[in-house]
Amino acid sequence: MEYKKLLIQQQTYNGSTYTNVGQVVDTQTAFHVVCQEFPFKYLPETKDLPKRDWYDEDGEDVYIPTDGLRFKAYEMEVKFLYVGSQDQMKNELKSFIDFICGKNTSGSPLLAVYDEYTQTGRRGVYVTEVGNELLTYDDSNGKYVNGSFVSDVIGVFKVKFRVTDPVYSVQYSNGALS
Amino acid sequence: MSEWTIYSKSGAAKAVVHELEYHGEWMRDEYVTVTVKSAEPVDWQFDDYLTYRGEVFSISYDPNVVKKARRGTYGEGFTYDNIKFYAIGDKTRFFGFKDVVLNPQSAANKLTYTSLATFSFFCSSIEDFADRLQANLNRESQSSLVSSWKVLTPIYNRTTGRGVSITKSEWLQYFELNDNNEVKGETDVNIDVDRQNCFDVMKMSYEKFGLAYYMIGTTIVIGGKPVHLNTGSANIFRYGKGLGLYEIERTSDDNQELVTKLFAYGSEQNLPLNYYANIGKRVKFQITHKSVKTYISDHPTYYLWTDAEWTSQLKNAFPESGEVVLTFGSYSAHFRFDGSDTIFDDNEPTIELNKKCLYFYWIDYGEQEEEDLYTHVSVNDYVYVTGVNINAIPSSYIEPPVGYNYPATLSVNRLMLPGYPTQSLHSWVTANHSELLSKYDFSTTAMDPWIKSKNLPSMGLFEGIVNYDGSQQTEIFPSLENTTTNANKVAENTNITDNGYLGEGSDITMILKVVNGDLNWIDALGNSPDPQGVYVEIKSGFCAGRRFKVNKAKLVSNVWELTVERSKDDSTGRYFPYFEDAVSGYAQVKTNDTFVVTGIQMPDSYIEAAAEKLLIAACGYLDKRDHVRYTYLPKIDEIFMQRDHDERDTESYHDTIRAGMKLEFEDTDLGIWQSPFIDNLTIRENGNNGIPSYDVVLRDEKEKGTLEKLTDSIAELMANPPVQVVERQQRTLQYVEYPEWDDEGLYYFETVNPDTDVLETSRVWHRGCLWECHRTLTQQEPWFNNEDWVCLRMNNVNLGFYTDEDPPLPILMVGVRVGYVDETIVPYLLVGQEDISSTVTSWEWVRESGDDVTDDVWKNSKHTDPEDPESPLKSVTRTLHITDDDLPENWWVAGSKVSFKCTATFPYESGESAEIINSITII
Repeated sequence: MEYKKLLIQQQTYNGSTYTNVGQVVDTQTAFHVVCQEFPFKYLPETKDLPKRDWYDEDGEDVYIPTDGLRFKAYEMEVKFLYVGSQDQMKNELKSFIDFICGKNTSGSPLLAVYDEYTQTGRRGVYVTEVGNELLTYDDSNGKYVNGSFVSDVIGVFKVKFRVTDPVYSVQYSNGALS
Repeated sequence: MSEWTIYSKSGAAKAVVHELEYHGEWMRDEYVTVTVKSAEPVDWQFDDYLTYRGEVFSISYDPNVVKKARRGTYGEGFTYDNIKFYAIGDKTRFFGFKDVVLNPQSAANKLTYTSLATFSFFCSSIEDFADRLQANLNRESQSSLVSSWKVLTPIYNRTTGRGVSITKSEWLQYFELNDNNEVKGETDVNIDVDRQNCFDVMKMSYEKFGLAYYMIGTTIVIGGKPVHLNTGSANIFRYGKGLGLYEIERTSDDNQELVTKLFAYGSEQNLPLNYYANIGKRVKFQITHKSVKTYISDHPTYYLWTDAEWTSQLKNAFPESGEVVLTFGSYSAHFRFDGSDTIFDDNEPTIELNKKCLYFYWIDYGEQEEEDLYTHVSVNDYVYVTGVNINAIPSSYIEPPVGYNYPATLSVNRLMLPGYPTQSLHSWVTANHSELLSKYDFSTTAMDPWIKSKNLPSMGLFEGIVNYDGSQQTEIFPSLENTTTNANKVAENTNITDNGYLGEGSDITMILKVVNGDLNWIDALGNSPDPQGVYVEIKSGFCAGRRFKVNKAKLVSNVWELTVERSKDDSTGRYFPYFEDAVSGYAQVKTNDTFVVTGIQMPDSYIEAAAEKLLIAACGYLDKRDHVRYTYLPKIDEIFMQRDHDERDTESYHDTIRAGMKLEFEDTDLGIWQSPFIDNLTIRENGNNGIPSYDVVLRDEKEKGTLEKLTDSIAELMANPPVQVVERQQRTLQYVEYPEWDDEGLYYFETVNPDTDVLETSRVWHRGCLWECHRTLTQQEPWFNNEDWVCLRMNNVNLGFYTDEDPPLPILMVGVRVGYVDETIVPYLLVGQEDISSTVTSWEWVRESGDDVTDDVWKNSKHTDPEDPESPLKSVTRTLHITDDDLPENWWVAGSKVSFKCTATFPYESGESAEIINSITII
């Protein structure tokens, strides 16, 4: 079965510039992890605007900034699938979680994420919570290997991310997210 | 969202902040606070700075820090909360104010200085004070943020004279034109400094000279013209969307002392002992016999013997030296003493004080009065004597007051309101200050003087007592001050030749010559009720504030020569006046310097003058307390301010508002119009979802400290008589709106409406417009061509299109046949059905066909003056005549319709214009 890729690159941010750290990681190749749904928002909720509710006027008086509307950071819950062998599942999930939390060697917890399925990517993303539930299933689409029937295990788990830059659209090209 | 970068003094960026709070207090601190959160500790240094609204603010201390995490592990591991960056002017706090002067010992300026930190100096005006300030600010080389300080004052030449480089036009940005070099503020002020810094001493420009100041960077402006935040009446802040204020809070002063009935008393200073108990009483002696003797040929000597037995008690009643007056009917004679029982002057009548009885004699030198006095006095007649201490006269020689009715046991030694105890205050005011009767009620009982406010019936009774004796209020007592004569002026410069440093045992006396006025100094010395003696206190000139004790007095060539003791300055040990050098000479008491006298019994006329002053002061006191005082807190609409900032950028209210400015606002519902000073200003940048919010505290005047409150001078009250005070304080201008103009109606402009007693500006509706009266009692109909009225609002104003027929018919849309277009369109400016087209000052037509290039060509062809095609001035064409030539080529193919837009400009409110636009379409 072919899965659409989820690409993640670790980053740092100094207040003005994002700098990539290490290589772009294909989660399926590296950890046998793919995403079931990645609910990026095209434009999330706008930031609160200065407004005044005049008691003696209809409606409200709102100030629209001259440089346009601004958007709030937001959280999203992503459902991941682990599709791999039962034996490797524990290690690979641990490596995946360490990676997205920047706990790998020379890692950084700030991420640029690109979902090939939705063709949407965001930068300035970090993990806020890793779900504790892991539901596992046997893959009924197993196959015979060396005369034995082998089936993958499918593990479902959830991770919450916060998207701090809700507008910038990350693209994948030349082996890097930018 | 705004952000600010904090730099080191070398210019390296240290941090960026997105929130900032600005605080400014009028004539006090001005600073911004920011909070910096960092993963790394920040190496703050003095003079790290940021720029806010174009001004530099810097750190002058080491900010506090809270550490919450190891370096580099947490973005907010090091928090520097509320770091204060002070305005550059705050650096004057680090300059001690010392006894230094500009250009010491130069040819033009022979001032000397000691460089002491505790000293006093004299300022003839604020200009001298500013010179001292400038001299202190010049003392040290400046920091990287400060190149030089400029102290600007209301006289241009004096400003540049202290080394300030400024052009006249630059100076005029801060001051009114003052080509006459008129001195502003108080004059002749003595300043005492005791280890203070320049920032604190600067406050004295307001406290001592009455001149407010403000600082812009390193420029200090003292006594500048008031700066209005608003740029004119059109920009008065009002409540409402787009008008500047979203709330107006009115609070009454809980701590206010309410007084509607006032009892006022003066000081005991200079008041004759038991003064009020002796009013109307007279000392009288009965003539027992009379005789004439001739010792000198043709010059008889007249004798009058009295029944007054010459006892020690009686002798004590007569002054040791001075004068008593003998009065009989219309005749009187002045008898003078020189301190002994002998004849003072052969040419003057004399009292012989022998051991048996009191008798008078005088020699007839040929004056008729000398003979008349003797001839018309008969044995058993009474003669009346003044100039003696009535308290020491045996009661048998005192005639009770005639026509007066006050208790015989009356004993009051304090200055009372006029008339007391013989005439009611009401009666006295009726005779002397009848203009006060419309403002106050006065007691009709002579023995119990009080003043009642006209507000008492509505406010209720609140009794108050005020003592003008120096404890609560400035002392009021009989003195020579403020007399209209020259009696309180120095007649001649003193001529001290030493430098004022006198050793122990030195002669500290000098001769002070003063103008001969009403005061008989010999009497004053002889009758002084004060055991400390008589003092002259100089009120102007270099020795202002110095007190000289008077030891002797002598009248020479109509000038009083007073032997006085020089005054020692405790801080320097120097006696004033002194001699500095031949050029300065200012260290003397000079001709026309003024003074007051203390420690004397004043003549009745001065007591009455002081009582009158007490009355005026008391009326002013009552004025401030007979009504509830309100404080208004208008709240500024930050959305209004932000839109203004978007439009005007650095000229906006946001970028220009500062403490010390005047903020004009009004509200017709609350009946207020105010233009107070901004005393406190806080701007919270990004305080409301990304835009700044504002807090202002407004005051009519800077709140004074306790000391300054005590010195609330009577002179100020005298300069602003209570009648005016009442007018200003009790009446707030009210805008009174009338439903419809009436040709017999009475309308007012900032004038008291006698029917309502309200200070009124009338507003009236007429022909669909709201008009404001600008000439009291005008009979003119409100209309645009009439300057007596200003249009404030129009209801249902519109621009309509009509044919040029008579009567004109409205046109909504024009349908034409191509090749035969010939339409005339006349625009009308209407208020309801009223045609006000005659008020339109310009008409402008533009064509809108979708092709901007040809539309511009059309506009230029229509608006260029045909008489002068090169002229940039465009002709004004109201009527639009449209032919095929006015329409684009093939217009009917491309879009099938073309619009013509008309803009009419017309006057609206005072000096302002408004525009109205409408379009008509050709199809």
